[in-house]
Amino acid sequence: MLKIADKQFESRLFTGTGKFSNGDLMAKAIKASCSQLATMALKRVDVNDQQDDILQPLIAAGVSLLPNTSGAKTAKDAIFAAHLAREALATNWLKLEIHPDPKYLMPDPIETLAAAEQLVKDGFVVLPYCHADPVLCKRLEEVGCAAVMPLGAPIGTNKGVVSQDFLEIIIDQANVPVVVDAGIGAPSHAARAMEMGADAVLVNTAIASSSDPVAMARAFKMAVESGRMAYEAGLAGKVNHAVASSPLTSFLDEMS
Amino acid sequence: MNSSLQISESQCSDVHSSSKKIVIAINDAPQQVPLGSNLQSIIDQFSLADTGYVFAINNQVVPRSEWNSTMLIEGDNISLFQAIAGG
Repeated sequence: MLKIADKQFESRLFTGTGKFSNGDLMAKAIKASCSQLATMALKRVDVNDQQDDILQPLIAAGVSLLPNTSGAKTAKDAIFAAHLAREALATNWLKLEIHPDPKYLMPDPIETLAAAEQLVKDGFVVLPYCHADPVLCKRLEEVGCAAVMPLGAPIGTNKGVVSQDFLEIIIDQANVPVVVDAGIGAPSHAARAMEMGADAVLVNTAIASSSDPVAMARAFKMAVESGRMAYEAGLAGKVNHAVASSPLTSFLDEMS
Repeated sequence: MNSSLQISESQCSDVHSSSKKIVIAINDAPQQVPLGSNLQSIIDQFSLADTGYVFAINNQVVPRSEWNSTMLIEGDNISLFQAIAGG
């Protein structure tokens, strides 16, 4: 079973709550995914234009919340957002994300490492979203992050595990769980990440923006379970020449 | 702005009954609230949920335990955040 900090997870599929057309559909999809950890964001309130309450359906479904620091452009912003989130949601778990550039939403490695170090000291369980950079992931682990969340591809692109070679190194070196976050666009991508030995995947857009988010959530659930099972079973090795699966008998030759 | 916020409950009882209003700003938007309001009164006045909200003043988070005792006066500008959907 996956363990991050003091929490155990039966499901290795973490989900985002953004981009769903409404709160009811979001809650149904997350329930179908069997995810036990879902991300949330914070925004300034317009008291005259209130948003749907998506919190209660998630809490009712028994899902733990993972607030993010989306919108933070610096370590200072992220630390403030983290403290806001802890007070608002009564959890010290945090998806640390710092992306100064709105076009590509690339995580800033320098600010992320600085913020992670401070937030760990402040008592947070820090799960940083970061590049698939093996050196950075090691540094994040060393400052006390409870897991690392390297990207498979740029956020929201649905391109899959394009950072595979680097993720493999990260997984090989890590002493904390590795959660592949961002870019996973299809259940097969999630299965691929799990087959590689990722401890979990975080999926949002691919479920929320699909034609049938509830069915897609179920498909991701199955893919993550399947990928993990394959990893634990041990994939057969690759070779560059043919190796017959049937015994090569000579009786066909004898007929001629 | 922070200095104008008074952490005192002693003045609540006799001003709550007053119909006098003051103007404060929530996230820079002007709002009328009754004289003697505190941060918890904001939650109540706008029918906000019990969880998922947080106040900050001068970029300092105000712990929930201090909402009742953080009194508002004319001209205060407070930040109010809500947990919303996000990835």
